[in-house]
Amino acid sequence: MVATDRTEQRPDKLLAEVAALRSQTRRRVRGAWLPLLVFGLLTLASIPLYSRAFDTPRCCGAFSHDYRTPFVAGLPGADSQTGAALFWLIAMPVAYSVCALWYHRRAAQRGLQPRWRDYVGLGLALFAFVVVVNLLPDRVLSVHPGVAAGSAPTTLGVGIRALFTPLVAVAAGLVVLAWVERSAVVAAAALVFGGLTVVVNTYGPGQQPAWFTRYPATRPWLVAPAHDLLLLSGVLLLGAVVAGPTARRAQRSA
Amino acid sequence: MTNATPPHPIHDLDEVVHQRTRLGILAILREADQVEFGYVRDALQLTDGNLSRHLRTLEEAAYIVIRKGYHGRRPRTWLTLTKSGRRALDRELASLRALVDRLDPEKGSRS
Repeated sequence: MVATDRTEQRPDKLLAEVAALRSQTRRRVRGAWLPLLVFGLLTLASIPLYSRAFDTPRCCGAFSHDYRTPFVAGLPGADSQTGAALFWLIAMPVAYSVCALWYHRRAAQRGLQPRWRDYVGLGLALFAFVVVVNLLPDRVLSVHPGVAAGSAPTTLGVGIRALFTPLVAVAAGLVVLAWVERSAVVAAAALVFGGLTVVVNTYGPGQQPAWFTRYPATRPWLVAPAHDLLLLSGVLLLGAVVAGPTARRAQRSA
Repeated sequence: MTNATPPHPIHDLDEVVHQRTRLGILAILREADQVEFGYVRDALQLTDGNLSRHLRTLEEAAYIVIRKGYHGRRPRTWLTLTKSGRRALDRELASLRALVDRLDPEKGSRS
């Protein structure tokens, strides 16, 4: 919209100009490729939390992982629950701080500041909520120690544990970011990432949805934690690869 | 029995917002948390003086907040849309759509 004091102010033309200005500003304000990259790398960095990260079942999904407190690392099967908890308690605030700092500096350079405070604030709040749920003792969530290793979760408590993991908190934060930046790419990446995490956690190690493959032994990929984490981080990194050049093109057209 | 007809949408247009340049300023501010003075000036191809005049009008109507600060040693002026500014812009756009709809129903339903 080139502002002139022309008397011609046809409503349809004004509406079209406003829509074009809003769309142009929205494109230039977007910077979600960095959070996608940061959380994609963070997901990769969580692989060492699983000592048997590349283990696959010999037959029909028999793992010996314990289901009682299995999701603190993000997926079941982490050896040290304390180590996994410490990893996320440090990594999440650091990751959000990196995003905040980057958005802040970028805004100062470009003169255009997105609503990154909403994203960072809500993202950290969602993570804090996940931490609180994970602090709840097993008896509160009705998680029974006798839940068979390698079998699908059968109690509500295990379902809750499977849903409230750090990886789901990352996905929920990215949904907020997609809303803040009105970005379909970020929304798609966040929903696929979150959806896959829930599917993997709901079915447990060594198990896969029946619609995917009936016997893991014949499809040994995508059943070990590292395979899942590579797939999940790949979703976010692919989102970053798609969103990055789009943001740069928008900036060049400025 | 009264034969009440809805008021013509032209009565809903806000004089402060309807002005073309101010509409452009609000449209930009709607999509960001804060926007720097220079960005709006360049995007709308305005002079400093012209933009300042429109910003003063919008600030007096409490539609925007103007905050002055520094980036390093460079003075910067940041603009933020207020809640009432957002509502005013949304109302204005709804009125414009209603007007288009009234003038050309086919075009209005498409926009």
